[in-house]
Amino acid sequence: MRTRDADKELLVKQTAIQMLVADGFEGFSMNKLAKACNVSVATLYIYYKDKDDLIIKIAIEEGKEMNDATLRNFNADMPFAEGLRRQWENRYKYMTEHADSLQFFDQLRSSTYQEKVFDNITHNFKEVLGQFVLNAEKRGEINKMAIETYWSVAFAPLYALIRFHNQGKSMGGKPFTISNKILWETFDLVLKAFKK
Amino acid sequence: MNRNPEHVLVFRSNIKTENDKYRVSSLLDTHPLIKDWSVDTSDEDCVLRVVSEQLQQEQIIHLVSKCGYQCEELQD
Repeated sequence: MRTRDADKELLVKQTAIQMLVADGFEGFSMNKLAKACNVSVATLYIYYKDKDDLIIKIAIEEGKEMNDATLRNFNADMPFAEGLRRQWENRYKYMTEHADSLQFFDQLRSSTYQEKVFDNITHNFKEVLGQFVLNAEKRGEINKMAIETYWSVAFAPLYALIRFHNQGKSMGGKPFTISNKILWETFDLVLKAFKK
Repeated sequence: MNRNPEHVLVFRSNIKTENDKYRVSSLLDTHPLIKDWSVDTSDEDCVLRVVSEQLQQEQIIHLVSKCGYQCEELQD
């Protein structure tokens, strides 16, 4: 990829995320990544200054992609139940198709990269989702509440199910695969919790 | 076709520590044709990365040697 090659760049990004998830930030190096992707170390350094620069750039890019996927066909003016359902569909789809990314972001959240990454990707995202909740409050569809309360009730159950699914097991190692039935019956309970 | 659209030159170097970096910074920081430069001291090759539209590899190698360090092209 001395000349920009979109396929190679994607390969580098995906491989880097896989390696970071498998080996952690400490075990990761530019040399190992170059070998795994079958590109030269020189090529990697054309695009990234060092390991930190690579991790931050890849995380920001991946984060933006995740936010775009989450906001697909969604707008802040949707009726509450419909908007929340769309959010569930979008998040579920993205996170089951990109299991590594979910783990990568968990790692980033508890790392020193946190500030540099999340300040850069959450701006527009927070605005749209904040406005969605505000609109639902104004229309009297839900009670006024802290955004953290909203988020915890709205999405923590979904993320718990996705984690079980991605790990292939739930509590106490019980084998688990998510089904539409489980997904949407959980959603209905969440919706019930918001109903006034 | 432009083989290096980003105008980045990369070298293996012996610039290993913060002190080494400080010593080359005197020339690299002030050079009018160098847009940006960095050294990855965490890498085994201590990769020196220079962004410059005009400078050639040999000129960078010469600059670095003037500071008392060596670098060579990192081969593809």
